Amino acid sequence: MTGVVAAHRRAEQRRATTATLATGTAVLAVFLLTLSYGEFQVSLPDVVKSLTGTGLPAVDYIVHTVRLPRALTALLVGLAFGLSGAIFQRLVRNPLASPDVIGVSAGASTAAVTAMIVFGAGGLLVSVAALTGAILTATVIYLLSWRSGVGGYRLVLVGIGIGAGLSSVTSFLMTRADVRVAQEALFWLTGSVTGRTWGHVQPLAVELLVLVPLCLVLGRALNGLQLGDDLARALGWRVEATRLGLLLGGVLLAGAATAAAGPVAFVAFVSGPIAARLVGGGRPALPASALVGALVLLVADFIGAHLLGDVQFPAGVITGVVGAPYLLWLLATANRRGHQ
Amino acid sequence: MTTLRSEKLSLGYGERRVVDDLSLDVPTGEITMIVGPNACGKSTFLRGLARLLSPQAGSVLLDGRALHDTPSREIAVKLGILPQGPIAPDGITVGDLVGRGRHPHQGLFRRWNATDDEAVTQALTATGTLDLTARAVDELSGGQRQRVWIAMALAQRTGVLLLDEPTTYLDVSHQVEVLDLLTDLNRRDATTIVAVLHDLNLACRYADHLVVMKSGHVVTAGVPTEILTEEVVAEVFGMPCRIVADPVSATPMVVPIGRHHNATGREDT
Repeated sequence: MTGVVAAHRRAEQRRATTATLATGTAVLAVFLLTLSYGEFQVSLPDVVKSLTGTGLPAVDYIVHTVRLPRALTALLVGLAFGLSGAIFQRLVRNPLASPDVIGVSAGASTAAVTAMIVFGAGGLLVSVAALTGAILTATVIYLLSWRSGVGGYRLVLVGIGIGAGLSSVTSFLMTRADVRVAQEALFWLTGSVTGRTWGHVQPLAVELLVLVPLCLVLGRALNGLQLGDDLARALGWRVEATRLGLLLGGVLLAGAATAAAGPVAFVAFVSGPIAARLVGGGRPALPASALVGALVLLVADFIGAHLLGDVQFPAGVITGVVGAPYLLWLLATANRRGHQ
Repeated sequence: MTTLRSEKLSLGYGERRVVDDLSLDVPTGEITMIVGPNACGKSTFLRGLARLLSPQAGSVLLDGRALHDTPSREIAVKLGILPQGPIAPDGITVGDLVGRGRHPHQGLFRRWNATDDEAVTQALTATGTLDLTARAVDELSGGQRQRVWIAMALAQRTGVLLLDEPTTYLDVSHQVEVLDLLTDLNRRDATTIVAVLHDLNLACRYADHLVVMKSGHVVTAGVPTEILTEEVVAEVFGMPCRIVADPVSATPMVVPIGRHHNATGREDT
């Protein structure tokens, strides 16, 4: 008697699992391709051998020292952006509410550029500044858009406003900077994983090791929060605590990712919607969103590095080219549909 | 049987008090309809009964225990509420949405099982939406969507079900359909139902117990035929009217009197 319901539930579950696994496989494939392809070609078996510690010393140098940190940075930054974007979008119930649209990434950038230009900082200090900037900006946006609860469109509008303000601060700082520092800052602002070392990977990996499981566990509450505060509460979900936890997790993920690779445009913004399409239905689809983020960034970096002739483009340029039209399309259709 | 009552309950938003010192015993196993003019506090009262709004004073007792001392999930097993105009997540299917009503029965370790499938199936069957299981909620008509939301609340399997204007935005045939459905639930499972309703005549027809509110107070409450008089309507809604027996159900039917149509020839201004 329960046949229809059970069958439907299993079908939805199966599709979600298949889509997530397929995305994961694609991530792995592009990851290995990134390690194997380049000026010095390493065959896939050699890559695997090197990864398992049985490779030749020359190959080990290419894979371990040159390519692996960069590929891992792309992977982890993509995961973090994808997860963070999906959390924000589901929580606020608005596809525009990703951290790169509502100014969280802009806050991280302004702080990082300030650290570089005003305080002459480099390396880890820039990352710390970026993370701090993300948290501070998110707090300000949250407080400014708070009117007995955080409404979707108010948060987005306040966020876009704050983001615009911060961008102009960043531009101002750039005009005051020494040319060489400005160039370095500009490159960072484009968002790139070029030249990343194990020094970048390690802090990021540790942060993600804590944040990703935490967000995935808390993310189960999105099944309730997606229905609106009243229904979530009516169904016994702990609304305030989980929302605050998820917001904090999302901000830290975006901050950590920006700290490692700069504000790579639109990765957080496009991953959630793509994952939702792949998984189908109305599930939060957080694991799939994280994997889509990783895939987007790995592919963008691969295209920028190898497929556009002699010039190398940072990943942020590629993701920007893809993301901008989507943002325009979303703005156009959201207005026409008339949002609540 | 789960009992629900409010004791000297005061509710409000910040400084503004919307419900004042309201005590009400919700009749167990019956259908209670709350009516009153706009901004009389009826929806606020319902939200207070469902712990969606914390009391400024007084309390709500579910099975004799104050709601604010009871864990939210424990309440959710006994009491369900369907707020006004709920919004479904983009792309969600009917089966998934109704399944989310099962959350209070699941725990960290107790995942989905056959009981959940059975509860969802029953809820869909009761609301006549079983054949919509695989459809996206966005694609449904207003009436179908409202039945699906009610199915979600039913899947929660609570003894008490609160509904805030479950018939808004529905045309008259769908309004009757939804109210018939609530009556079925009440008759079959003895579910206690409390609904805020706009339409006085439908409220009188479907209510076992009618609660008439004005400015945060209960003006009168009881069996509709006994309590709804022309004087009460005049006092609460500030509008003269005639009350006749509903030709279908013999319950009170309010016929409003405006300034332009007046059978007695009197000019009421």
